[in-house]
Amino acid sequence: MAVKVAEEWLNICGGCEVTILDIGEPLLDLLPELDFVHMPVLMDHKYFGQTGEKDEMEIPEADVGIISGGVRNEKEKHVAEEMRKQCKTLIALGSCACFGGIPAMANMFPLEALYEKVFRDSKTTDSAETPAENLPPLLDRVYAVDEVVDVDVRIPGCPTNPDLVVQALTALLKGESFEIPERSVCDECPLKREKKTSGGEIKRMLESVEFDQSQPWDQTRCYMEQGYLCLGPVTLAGCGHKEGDGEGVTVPRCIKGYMPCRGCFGPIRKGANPLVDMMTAISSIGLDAKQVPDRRALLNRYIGSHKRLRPLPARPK
Amino acid sequence: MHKSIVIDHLCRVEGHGGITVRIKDDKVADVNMDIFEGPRFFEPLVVGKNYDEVAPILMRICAICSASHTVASLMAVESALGIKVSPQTRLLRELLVQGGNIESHALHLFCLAIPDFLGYPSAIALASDHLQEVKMGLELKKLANTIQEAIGGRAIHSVNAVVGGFGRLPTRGALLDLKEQLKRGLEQSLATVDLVSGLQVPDFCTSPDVYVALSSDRAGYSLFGDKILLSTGETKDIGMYKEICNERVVAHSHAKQSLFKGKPFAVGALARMVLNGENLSGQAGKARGKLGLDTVSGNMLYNNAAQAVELVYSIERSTEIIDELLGAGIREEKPVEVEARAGTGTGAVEAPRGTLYHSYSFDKAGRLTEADVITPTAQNLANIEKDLRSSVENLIDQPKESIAPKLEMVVRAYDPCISCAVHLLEVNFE
Ligand code: SF4
Ligand code: SF4
Ligand code: SF4
Repeated sequence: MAVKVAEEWLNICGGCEVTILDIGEPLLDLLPELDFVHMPVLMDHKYFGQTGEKDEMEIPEADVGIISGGVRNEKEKHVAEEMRKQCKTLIALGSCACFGGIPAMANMFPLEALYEKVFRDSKTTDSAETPAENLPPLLDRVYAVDEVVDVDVRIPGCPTNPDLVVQALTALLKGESFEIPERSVCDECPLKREKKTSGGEIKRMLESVEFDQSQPWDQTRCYMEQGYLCLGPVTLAGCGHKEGDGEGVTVPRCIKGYMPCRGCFGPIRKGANPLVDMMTAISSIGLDAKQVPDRRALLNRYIGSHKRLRPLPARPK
Repeated sequence: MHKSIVIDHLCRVEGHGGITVRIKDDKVADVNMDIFEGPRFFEPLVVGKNYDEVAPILMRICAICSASHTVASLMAVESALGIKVSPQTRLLRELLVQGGNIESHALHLFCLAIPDFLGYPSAIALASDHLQEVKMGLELKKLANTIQEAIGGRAIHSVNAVVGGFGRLPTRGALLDLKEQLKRGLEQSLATVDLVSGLQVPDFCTSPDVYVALSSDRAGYSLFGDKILLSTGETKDIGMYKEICNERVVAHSHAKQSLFKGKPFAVGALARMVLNGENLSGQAGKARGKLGLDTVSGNMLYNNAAQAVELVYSIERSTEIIDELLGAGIREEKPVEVEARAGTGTGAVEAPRGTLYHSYSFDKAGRLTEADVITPTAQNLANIEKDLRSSVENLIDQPKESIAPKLEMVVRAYDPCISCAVHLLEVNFE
């Protein structure tokens, strides 16, 4: 019997839904075994009946529920709760759902301050009212899905990796559980390491790393050892795709683009503190951790929920 | 008679939107697009950030327009800091944007619009009867991914396009590969035009429109330009974009709405087709005639046809760019060196859904002090309301059940990326 799937998106950019489509052909192969009962991005299924005739929100029962996006307002919170009620297994898809994602950088400011800035303070706005008519109230900050309801499976990434979605669905189809192994992007990274830096200052990404595209990966030196801030040591592995039809080496996604990791898959272990761990990693290869600009925001860029990012009391100047 | 149609949740548009139409005594009393999604407050997120960090954050306003956001953002930074990039960088960026255009149009046509016109509730349902078509859509989407991966380093939210140029350049081999794949893509895009030419376009939403698009900066159709062209005959420099996107906050929406001289206007593929379509050549030029776009205007439901023509255009143009790059030979150049300075600058690009503006100011250390992003959907919202109003007037005699789906069709024709209209940045005209 086909497995029933419900998908919902909350506070999102749509990249995680596109990732589901990016599965491509394997998705068409999986389709006969999957019965999508609810998926607003693709399907015409409304919460209150097709013509709004119902009073209660209605999400059909499903074996697997997928939620992308963090929780920013009351309505999204309610949708997350309904999904939890109706779905046997709940997947948080993407870093917004798992850790708040980029929008959770806003957690560094109180809601009032954000509203002031965007709607009222704006010197050029015609109407100085905060829009309110018919709109769901905002929560005080951006929450990850698991801060609102229990989550069974986490598939982070901004966006996540289509391979992981296939692996998770395949496992769930067989009735098995799914978990991404606790490895770091460095564990998966094929670049050459000498355990020390060439010295000097931490470089800005604009200078671009040294590489030769005609050489195999292990001939390129680790970007961090080249002096760039790479979040590989504190970031969960899983973004990599095997090169050459699944035969070649696995290369993490940004590393493959000759760019350092920015940490979009979030911490390796639940509750880890990448800020502290990264400072240690930087120091251990001989770079000066204090040089990292705007540390708190930079090292928590995708993971600002769970109170990792919150407003700081104003510092006296 | 007093009836009210509430479509609480607009499915199959990217983002969360709803429509409320209030009808009183057989007349439309009120049409509101309710924007439900929480504003994501992107603007405050980049204030205080160094100039090189702005694009990686703001591209996440929308995954489907990520390439356009990236390029518009980089152009705004460069204009503010007085950086001139190489012709090669400009070509590569254009290729990235064309890739994004192919992706977005393929997705919208195959997953959202075609099921709509053929009367299927979803692409999944369409796949059970028309597997070949859905496969074709997914393959076009994959082609677009390959382009963005080759140029931007990742299929979604690219990492290689940076201030001043590119971190890594595509190899000759990768470009040759891409060129091969584009050949197949061209056939598929032409098949898409055939498919779209068979769809009946209803005329219930016809009403006069003002169209706005960038005027192309070279001979031929283009997604780039320094001037804004209006179908009223006026042109403006992109730096003056605020005169066109005079935005207001409306009570029923978390997204601001744009008006020009107090009137709504439309941006997007159809606007580009109306304003620049005669510059199309090759297969795209032929497709434009085939889909009847050399005459029509005022019916937004033709936007889907315009997207199909642009699918052909973007594929042909991508091949042209690759030929140009290969002909000149890829120069191994590093991004232009940047010296931080205070300044203000604007970048504009024709994103899949219409003109996209990013405008920033920096202090002398190169830290951002103000950001303003105006998305195409924000500009279109007022026009969507206008079209809904005229559609309801044309459909008023029909039962409620049959009006509602037609109104959704109007909204979806705009391909609104509501999630992006709602990030809400500071706009307006002093
Ligand atoms: S995790 Fe990234 S790609 Fe996914 S919805 Fe959030 S911002 Fe978009
Ligand atoms: S620090 Fe970055 S470049 Fe170095 S091994 Fe780890 S992931 Fe690879
Ligand atoms: S390398 Fe890092 S930032 Fe890049 S995709 Fe992987 S986890 Fe995300």
